[in-house]
Amino acid sequence: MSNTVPDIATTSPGSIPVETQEKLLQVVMRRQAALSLRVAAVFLVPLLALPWINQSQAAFMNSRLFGFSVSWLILGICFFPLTWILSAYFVKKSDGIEAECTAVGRQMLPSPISKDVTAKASQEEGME
Amino acid sequence: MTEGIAWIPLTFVILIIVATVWLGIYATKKSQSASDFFVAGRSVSVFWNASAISGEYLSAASFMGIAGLLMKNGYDALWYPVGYAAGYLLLLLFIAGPLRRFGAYTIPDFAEGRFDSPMFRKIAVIFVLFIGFFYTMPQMKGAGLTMASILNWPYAVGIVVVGAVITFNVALGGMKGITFVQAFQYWAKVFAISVPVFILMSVYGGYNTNFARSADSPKSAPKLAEETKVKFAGLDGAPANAVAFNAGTVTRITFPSGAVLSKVTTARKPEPGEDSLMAGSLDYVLGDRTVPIPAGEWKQGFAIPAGASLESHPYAATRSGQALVKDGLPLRNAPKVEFLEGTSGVIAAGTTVPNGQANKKWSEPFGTMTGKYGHPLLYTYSLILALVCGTAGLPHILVRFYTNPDGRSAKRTTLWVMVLIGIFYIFPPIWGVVGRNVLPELYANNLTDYVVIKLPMTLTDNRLLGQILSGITSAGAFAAFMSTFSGLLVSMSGALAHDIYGKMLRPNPSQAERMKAFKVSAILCGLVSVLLGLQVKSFDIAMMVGSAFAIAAASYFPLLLLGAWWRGLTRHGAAAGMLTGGLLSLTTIVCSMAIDKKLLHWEVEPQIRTLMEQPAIWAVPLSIGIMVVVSLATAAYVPKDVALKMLRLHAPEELGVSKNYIDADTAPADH
Repeated sequence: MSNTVPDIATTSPGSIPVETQEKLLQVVMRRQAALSLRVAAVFLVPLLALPWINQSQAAFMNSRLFGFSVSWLILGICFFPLTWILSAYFVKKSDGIEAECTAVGRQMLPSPISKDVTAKASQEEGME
Repeated sequence: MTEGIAWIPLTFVILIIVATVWLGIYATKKSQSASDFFVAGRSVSVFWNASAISGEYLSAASFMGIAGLLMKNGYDALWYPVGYAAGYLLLLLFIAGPLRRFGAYTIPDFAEGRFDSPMFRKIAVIFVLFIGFFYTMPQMKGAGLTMASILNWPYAVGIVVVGAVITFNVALGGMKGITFVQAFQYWAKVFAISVPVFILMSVYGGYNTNFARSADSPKSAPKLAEETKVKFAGLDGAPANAVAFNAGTVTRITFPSGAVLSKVTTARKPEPGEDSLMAGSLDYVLGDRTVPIPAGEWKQGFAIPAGASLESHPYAATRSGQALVKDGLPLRNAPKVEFLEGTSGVIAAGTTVPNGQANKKWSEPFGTMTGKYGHPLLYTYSLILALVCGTAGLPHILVRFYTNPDGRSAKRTTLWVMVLIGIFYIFPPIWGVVGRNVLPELYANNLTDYVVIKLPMTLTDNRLLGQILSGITSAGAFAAFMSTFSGLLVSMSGALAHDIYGKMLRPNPSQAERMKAFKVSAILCGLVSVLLGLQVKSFDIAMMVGSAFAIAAASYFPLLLLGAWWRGLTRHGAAAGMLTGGLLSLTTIVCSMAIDKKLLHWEVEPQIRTLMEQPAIWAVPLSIGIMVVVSLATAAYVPKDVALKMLRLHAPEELGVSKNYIDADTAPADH
């Protein structure tokens, strides 16, 4: 498999006006950052709350469920699927954001992007 | 314990070593260019890369250490697998995509390119080497212990064998070579950790059944089913030379060849003002003679004659003669002895095993691991932060993301890594829970790290099956040392060959020179790793790995997080934060270890001691805070083309603004 990353030399991004760079950057970063922070919050809140709940609700957390204590069941077994669900959600949403950013970015960029890259991107969009 | 050579486990270990070498040689035929050596030609598919990253990540600490730590400490140890896995989520959310899009070979490349600072490359290289060697030491120790268990060989032999095999493989095939090897080793490890434990559960009961067996009798502790001979380490094996007696029952250990003690203290750390160890709580019995043993340290050692029995008598703890009460219950204590010289003892059937904490403390949160300095919540939070942030700051893991074809693949790879290691991490705790009920003698001589190797051997009704299963887990343990050590070696060799040789000593070398430098660096790093491994026999595996995570969390994690997302970060801010956070956490960790080893005799407040052993809770915010403050103060040094740099980090490849900082097979980029 060859290197699929386009070389900047073909599109001369250095020639992109600074204002366009800034606008494009805002488009690209803002939504990705919001998504990352949202998913991180959904994950970190229960993770960091668990020790505190273990202490403040000790009786409940040590009660039995399927032979385990509730706390053991959450930490030892249920936490892993939670990370899978969150990361699958993130990757799906992130891909969507990137596709939208690509469409918006193409309109912003002054010079045509290299034919190979455009063709590849169109092909992928067609597949989606 | 095994006295001779365990032939079947040895056969499995040889098989995994041969398979590793063969795969390495096979992959070498495909490694032709410098790019292949450093980043596997940036062409590794998501499946192979996810398998390889998982294979690299699941180290001795994961395969043997978590099972042993969980058997020893119960619930508190569950934070390790969860933290190890959870760190990848932060990596996915904030770092994986941007890091790949930057397109470097090593993390120091990123440090240099993001800030246009060759000086920052040097700082970053130091941390790559430091974290790498810190992480290598526990892998080496695990290799030495496993070889000693299987072959009854000296500790050093395992280290030399593993060190030599992996160094050979890495020097031969570089990154592309070890990608195949590590991917294969992930699947070998999953097989080895899962299949035997299902067979064992069919004999000893399921995960929940074994958990309930312990947790439903909160006041009791594991007992020996039959008379057991136990080996004890001497002072050179500290802290594994300690035996903490149970505070609920009288315990007796007979020493056929005698014993020499170095110290007698209390099993539970005394409460403030608690009266010292009660007289008569420990003595030895020889025939009709009973000799009380005083508490304290003895320069010459306190000798117990051959054939005598050491007897501990638990007692109600007091303060100024008044009974101590905690949570409405009378507080008890028992003696703890430390041996000056290695010896062996015999413990009678039905005895509550020494060093095994009571079921309640084991099965519930805030047991002896997090509560050892009296601040369990603080300890727990700091541990979580170290593990979660540290994962996203380990150079040998991060360097793997450059092997993805693009940023999108890097994210998908991370997702699959989380699935693969999540599946793996469900199993080590099962070993610990079953081991607690079936193999309690491992508590007595502090050998719970051996549980994955020894537990299958308890299948005495079918010894052949037990030996085969033990062979499978031994091979899995070997795969764990080898894959992690491979990754560390590639990361460190890359830092030496690419960042030091190729950037500082001899800029713009030819491809042949770069590949030669990589091979020489691999041999050099392998040699140093072996030498370091020989020095750390008495250090704890989990502690050393945890320390590497804490240092990474306070150094690389803030650099990558802010470097990828905050355009205002300057090289001054990044360097100041990284150096302060990384070096301070390193210093406190080393001091804490030195206190444990009695090399330092500091009286430290328990809260401070907790923060020394687990520094992430203050070191990570400190590092980030310094980066922000210093960057704001040096805002004039923000790179002029920072918008373009940020675009390269975040823009989808389809826009065509991405550029590999180091392009494949070309002279290093002129930045």
